[in-house]
Amino acid sequence: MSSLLSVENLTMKFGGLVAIDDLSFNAQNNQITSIIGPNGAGKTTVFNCLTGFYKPTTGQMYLHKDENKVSLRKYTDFKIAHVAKVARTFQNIRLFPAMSVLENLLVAQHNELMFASGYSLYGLLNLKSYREKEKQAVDKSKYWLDIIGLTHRADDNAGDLPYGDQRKLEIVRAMCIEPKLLCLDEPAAGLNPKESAELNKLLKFIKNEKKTGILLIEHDMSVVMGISDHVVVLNYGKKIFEGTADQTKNSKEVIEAYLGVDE
Amino acid sequence: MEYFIQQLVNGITLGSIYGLIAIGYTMVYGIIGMINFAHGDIFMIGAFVALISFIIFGLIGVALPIILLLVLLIAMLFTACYGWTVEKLAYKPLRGSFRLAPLISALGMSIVLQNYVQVAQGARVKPMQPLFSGGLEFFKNSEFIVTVSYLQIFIVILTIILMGIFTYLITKTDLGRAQRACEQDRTMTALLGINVDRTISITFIIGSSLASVAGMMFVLYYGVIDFYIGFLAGIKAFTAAVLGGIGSLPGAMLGGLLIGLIETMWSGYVSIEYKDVAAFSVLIVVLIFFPTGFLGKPDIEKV
Repeated sequence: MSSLLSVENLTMKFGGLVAIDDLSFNAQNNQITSIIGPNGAGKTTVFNCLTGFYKPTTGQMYLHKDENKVSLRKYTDFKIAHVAKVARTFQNIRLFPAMSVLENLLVAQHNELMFASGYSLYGLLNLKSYREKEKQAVDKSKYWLDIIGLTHRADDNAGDLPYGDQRKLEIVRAMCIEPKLLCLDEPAAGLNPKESAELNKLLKFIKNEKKTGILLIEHDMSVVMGISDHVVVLNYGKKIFEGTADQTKNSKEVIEAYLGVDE
Repeated sequence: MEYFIQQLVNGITLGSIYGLIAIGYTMVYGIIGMINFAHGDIFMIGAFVALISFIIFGLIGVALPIILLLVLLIAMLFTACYGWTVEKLAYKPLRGSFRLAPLISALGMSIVLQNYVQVAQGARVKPMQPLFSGGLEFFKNSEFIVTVSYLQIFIVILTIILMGIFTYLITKTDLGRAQRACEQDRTMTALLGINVDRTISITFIIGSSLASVAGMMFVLYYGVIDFYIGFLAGIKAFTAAVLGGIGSLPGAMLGGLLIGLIETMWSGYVSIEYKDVAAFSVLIVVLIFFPTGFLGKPDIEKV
């Protein structure tokens, strides 16, 4: 089975600081690949390289989309989501707080709607083809809202939702662009145990039903160990371990990195 | 009483023109957080394009309603091109720069546009013969006859139609949704696959075409223009945008109306010389009590 994402010898230097040092790993379709490591290990930097915020010093990142091998280096800005079909979330919540829950999901379907509406011209004229497309977009949003149980709050401002719901909405919004790869940066941060169990359920659903590969950065080990198919452990920008969740739990290197070594 | 009504009508007409310009300021501020000081001059360009096309169509001899429609479209098209070019030349290269850089660039662009029109069109004032004549008269039996000219009716109705379309565009269509998304978080909007640069360009295009309509109204209403009209009208419209709450679209319309009314009331009852002073003084007083303007969102920091 060919992998969805292959990162090859990725190195990112900021002046003298080596944030990522010769990192290689693969992520598979329909799997959750977790990247863990102590603070400052370079986890978010990996995401920033993947999503075009940083240009890696050396190394390659390939996304395999239906037989095509796409280099992520070539894409920046909106093309990451639009062309490469990589979606991401951030450590802090970045919903559009002054827009309704439904609108937040519709924004993610902007490109399809924009095309269908002839760059808003048909939209202004309210043509039938546009209305149908818009109905489809609304239906898709409703489908996702049903899954996270927020249908009754569709018209409320996203900023008024409880924290846990905002987290889920953010993930679902990323799913609305129909990504091949979903990068989640600490989605469980600040969630209570009940909310984080719901999050696990949502991520499993996405993995199994939507055939999307998930790349996950997380500190909450109950989440990581509960749902990961594959774990990559980073420390000081280097990969120190790679394996299944159980293997990782018992790995000597990983325990040393997190807890330190006896003198 | 009759005199008051007359001033009210005049004020609403003037306020419509200011409101249309103010929308351009407030939209650009909302989406990229800068004051586009060249916007007043875009309005002036719109007025010149309108004047030139009025003269051309007048010479050909087309019927009045068709002239109005054609001039409207031509002025919007040309001025939108100017707005788009200004954004591409003067603001886009500075997108990642510090906040003051595009502001200074905007002031420079304003001077460039003014001088360009001065060189291209000459410095003398350009008159135009009134296209509209007559109007409705009210209170014929009293001492003061209130006249609502057809031109005033035309201006107000056109403004209402444009504001209606515009409000629909921003609140209901996906283009408006993308613009509001850019306003709140540009990075995240890009990560959802939306071309932010294009959305910003469209914002400039819409703002400029609304300003050109205001320019056309100005030509019709005052009958004289020169290359310098953009400065004062721009400052007034900017004041209107701030008064209503910059970044808020209904605020810009409300602010435009208020500035128009204050100006005409002051010239009607106090003195015509100090009408600008009155408009700006009201701004200062309002900002003391409503620092974010009438309809602006107060910036509440969550801790």
